[in-house]
Amino acid sequence: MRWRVKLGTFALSVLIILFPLSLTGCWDREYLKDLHLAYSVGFDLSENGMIKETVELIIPPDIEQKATTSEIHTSYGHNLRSASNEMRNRVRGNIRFLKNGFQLFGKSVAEHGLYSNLDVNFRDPTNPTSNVRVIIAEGNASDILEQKMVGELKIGEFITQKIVSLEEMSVFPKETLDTVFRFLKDPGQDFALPYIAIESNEIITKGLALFNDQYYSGMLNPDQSILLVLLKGQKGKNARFTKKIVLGYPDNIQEYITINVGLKKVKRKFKVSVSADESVEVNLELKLQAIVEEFPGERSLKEKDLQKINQALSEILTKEAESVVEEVQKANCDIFGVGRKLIAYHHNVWKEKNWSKDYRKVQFHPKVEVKIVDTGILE
Amino acid sequence: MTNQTQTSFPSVDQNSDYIEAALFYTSDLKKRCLSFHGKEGMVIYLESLTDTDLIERNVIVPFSRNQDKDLPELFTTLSFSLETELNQGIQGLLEGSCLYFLEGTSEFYVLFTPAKYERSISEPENEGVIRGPHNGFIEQMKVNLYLIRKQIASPNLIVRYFTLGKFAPKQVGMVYMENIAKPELIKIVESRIKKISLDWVITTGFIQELTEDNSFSIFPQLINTERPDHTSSYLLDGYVALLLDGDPTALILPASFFSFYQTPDDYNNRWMIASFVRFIRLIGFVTAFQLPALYIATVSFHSNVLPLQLFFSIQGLLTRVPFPPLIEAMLLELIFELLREAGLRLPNRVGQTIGIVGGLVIGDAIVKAGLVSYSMIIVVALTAIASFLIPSNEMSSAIRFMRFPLMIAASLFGYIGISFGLTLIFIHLCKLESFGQPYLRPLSPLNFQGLKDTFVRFPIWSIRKSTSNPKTNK
Repeated sequence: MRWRVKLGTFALSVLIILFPLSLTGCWDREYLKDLHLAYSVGFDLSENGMIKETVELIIPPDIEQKATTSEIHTSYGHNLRSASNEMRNRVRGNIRFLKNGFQLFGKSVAEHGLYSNLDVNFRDPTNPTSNVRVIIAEGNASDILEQKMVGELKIGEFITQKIVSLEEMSVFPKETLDTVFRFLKDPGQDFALPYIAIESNEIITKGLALFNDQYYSGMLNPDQSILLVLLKGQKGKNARFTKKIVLGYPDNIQEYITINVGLKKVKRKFKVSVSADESVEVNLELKLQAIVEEFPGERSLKEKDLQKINQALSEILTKEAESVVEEVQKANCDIFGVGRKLIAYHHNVWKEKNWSKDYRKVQFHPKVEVKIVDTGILE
Repeated sequence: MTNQTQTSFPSVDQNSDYIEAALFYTSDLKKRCLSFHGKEGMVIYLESLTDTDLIERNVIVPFSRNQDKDLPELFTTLSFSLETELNQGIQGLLEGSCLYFLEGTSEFYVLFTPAKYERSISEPENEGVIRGPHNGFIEQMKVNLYLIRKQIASPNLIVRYFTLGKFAPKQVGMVYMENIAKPELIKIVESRIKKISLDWVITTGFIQELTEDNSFSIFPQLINTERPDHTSSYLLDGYVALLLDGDPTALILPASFFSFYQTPDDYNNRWMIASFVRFIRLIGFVTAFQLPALYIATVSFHSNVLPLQLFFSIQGLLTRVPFPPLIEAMLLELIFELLREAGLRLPNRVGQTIGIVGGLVIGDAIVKAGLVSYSMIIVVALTAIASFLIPSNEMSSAIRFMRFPLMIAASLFGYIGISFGLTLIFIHLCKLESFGQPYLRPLSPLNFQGLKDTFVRFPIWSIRKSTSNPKTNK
């Protein structure tokens, strides 16, 4: 097939090809070399009710093969955007949150409600949400970010690595801006966020910050958080507990045992039932398969001993689960999504409930069963 | 040449005058008087086209010794014919014959004494294989046909000659297998060759451009090769080959896109290794025309897809470069094309110098001078290497050319621009035909049997069930 090219068609096609070439500095083009990256960002509520924004800016090196450097800047505003705009006045121009690793909120902000401070992330599609962690700081977020470096690492990298590795150890549930948004909009489920603090110039993990709707309402310590993560039906690569057990022999030896339940499958049973008087009962059962990682005791682990240890550990963990549930209920944080179940399966009951009050009346029956399946290669 | 006819004159002088006039008194036309039985006679030949030793031994010497014999008996060692048409004689002269005229006779002898200056049959430099036959076509069509017939000893192998060129005629040979090639295909090829009207034809490039379906496509629609085994395997698959006298390249048609990614080596390797190599070539194909575009789109629109560490290291590399990525890429691609073209025209020893000067000196200095970044050098160098993976030089050039519009699209619209560009290219490829056969077969229209020998190569017993079902019949 031959093309018969008329002069007009030819001229038109040449123009079509040439015109786009003249459109150079256009649209949403953003050259990589012009980007000023804000890797981590923290927000606090100052005394006069202004939002205080602290940003860690990454400065690319001017010569290749040199490491990047970082700067910490602070600004104030009425909301997040105005604080960010104020920030842009102070630093070298346009800062971008493209590779934002986490957003750190001071406890003061968390107590006044998270949603208003997260709104900008969900409204503007250029802000990343899918891999951005939300973290709560015990004191001021700015205090933590102003550490600037932790050893050789920049503060942002340090905290991201810390959170990710603790997620793998099942201390924190995996929550990002995306999942938090879902829970914020869901009346039947709440969330918990990593809770960190600064103590004698070291950034330490305090545990989990529990939320009621969008407000900070309580916390759990790291040991309890692992159990909470397991009770939620999540787990990382590892989940370790170190417990003191009393073996019921005549000599009554007490030993510390470290078990890891994250390597094997966890069986979880979560059942929400409504009785005739419309009181809600929740059965929460966990079956854990444990591997003994450390047991510096004198007694070797025989079949008979294992049964006793299983029993002892099950009792300890069940008790702890009860205390976790108690804490969670005290914080009015529906972390397990009991409300969601009611909405789905008992909608009439849900409609009559005032969940913010009635959640505390829910009867939880947690039960943890531990079975040691492996005692290591020593025996 | 003139089309009028002229029968030979009885007088030798008249004949020689006519021939000399017809050839415009060219200096390499030689005459020599040789009388026979007392009658005047004359040998005429073009010394540049004939083997003068052969004339000396087989024409002149017999005259001096055997004056008692009849004339035809003298030339027993040569093939000859008797002609009366002088223009036929002139044509014979141009093909390397010598003419003998005898006073008083109306017929003259055309004795076949051509000079044989042939290149030896050697392996084509641009299509070497590790295993398999190491011979290649040369500039003599007869030799090339010999090489094909040596591969396919079958009465079904057919050659049809055509003559192209009005001023300087040349022979074109169309080769195909009678029972395998589709008759419709043969008809199309024949009619397209007959339609060619040119004053002269020097290379197969002329035939290629005048017979292809779409001259405005940048994708080659005829396969060219200098390998007899490659040609033969295509012929046995029902393809048609065109040979031109004086050109060592055979044109094979109808081409499909994937045939440019196959080499004879694929069938010499074990099938898993051959499949792996084909897969590597496929990666090379994707890399060769998309990598620069992807890079440009990434650093100018979608920096957020880069992992954090890579983000910083590329940003660090880019900080000193004053140009936008498109200009940077164009600059480097241009330098690469310059080096490639320069290397092509230079003898081997100087070519290595070009490689060192171009690759090392310019490559390093251009980054130190802050004109382009190391990351762009990596991208362009990878692209260049990937484009050399493509066995066919023509397809390689097409792919190299294709990446420029893609780069522009990428710098205007980012990933969306690339996907639009690719869509347009694939629409074009799907629409393209080569001699009535879809160019993208067996992918479009989809043919699972054909796919066994496309992206991967299945074992031969699974792809070649029987020869009665050739590729072109599907």
